[in-house]
Amino acid sequence: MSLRSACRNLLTLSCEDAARLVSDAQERRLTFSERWGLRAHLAICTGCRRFRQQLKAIESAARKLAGQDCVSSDQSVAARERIAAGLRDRLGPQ
Amino acid sequence: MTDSAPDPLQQAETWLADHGDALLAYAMRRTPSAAAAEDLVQETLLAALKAAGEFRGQAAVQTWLTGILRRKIADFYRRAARDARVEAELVEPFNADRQWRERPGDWGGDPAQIAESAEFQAALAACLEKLGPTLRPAFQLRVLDQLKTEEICSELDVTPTNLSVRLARARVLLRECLERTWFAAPQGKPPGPASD
Repeated sequence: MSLRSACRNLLTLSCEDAARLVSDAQERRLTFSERWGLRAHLAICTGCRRFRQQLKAIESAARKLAGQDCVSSDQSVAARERIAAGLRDRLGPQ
Repeated sequence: MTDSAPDPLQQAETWLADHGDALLAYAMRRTPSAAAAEDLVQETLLAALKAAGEFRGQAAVQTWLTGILRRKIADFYRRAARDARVEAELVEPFNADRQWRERPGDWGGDPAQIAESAEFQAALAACLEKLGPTLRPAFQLRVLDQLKTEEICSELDVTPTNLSVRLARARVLLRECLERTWFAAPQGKPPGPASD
């Protein structure tokens, strides 16, 4: 049964489907037939192989960005000061 | 009788002092810029003042304020969606046959090394800002914040399948955008002005 769906995947998987599976593989364990379908597609598709490699660079760079956009305490003080100024504009004594 | 409500400004400033950092951090992870996050926190405090009568203290103040902020963020993205020029700059990567419109190029090198490049990270940040209101938060919460699927689904009110579609879409669009802005640009230099 799984073998049959694996064969079907081999014949029908589009790059868009393959890209979806490459993405899903980051989120969960692929099923048997998905795994074989993707493997077969990647064996014959340079574009999707590159996508998979490039995604590693994207995910890893994105995690580095996440570290940078933490609010530093200086930034936070400045931000709170700007918000307080805005509040005073809107609510301050007339 | 002390019926006098606390001075609104003072009340808002107290909230800001006590919960400002948490609200800002929450908003910054979910919006495109620090300026947008600050505006939303300010709007949240103003809305909270108006709704203060409804706050009966069953919820912790911060939970209550975060709930208001969430609605403000949802409004923000609804407005952005109406502007509809988000994602306009991104190019559809697949053709009608669902194959790559243009085959992904060979970026060369080791992905880990590419990820270290400051230019690559800057290009990624710029591409992230081009993602639309449905894709950006999905990618942000999953990859940057590393939240679990269930948490993101409840936060964004989507099914796991829906989230998986959005993440895949965000990833191919980011790849495509990076290829145009970082890979195609002369290495080590920021891309020149767009020349459609």
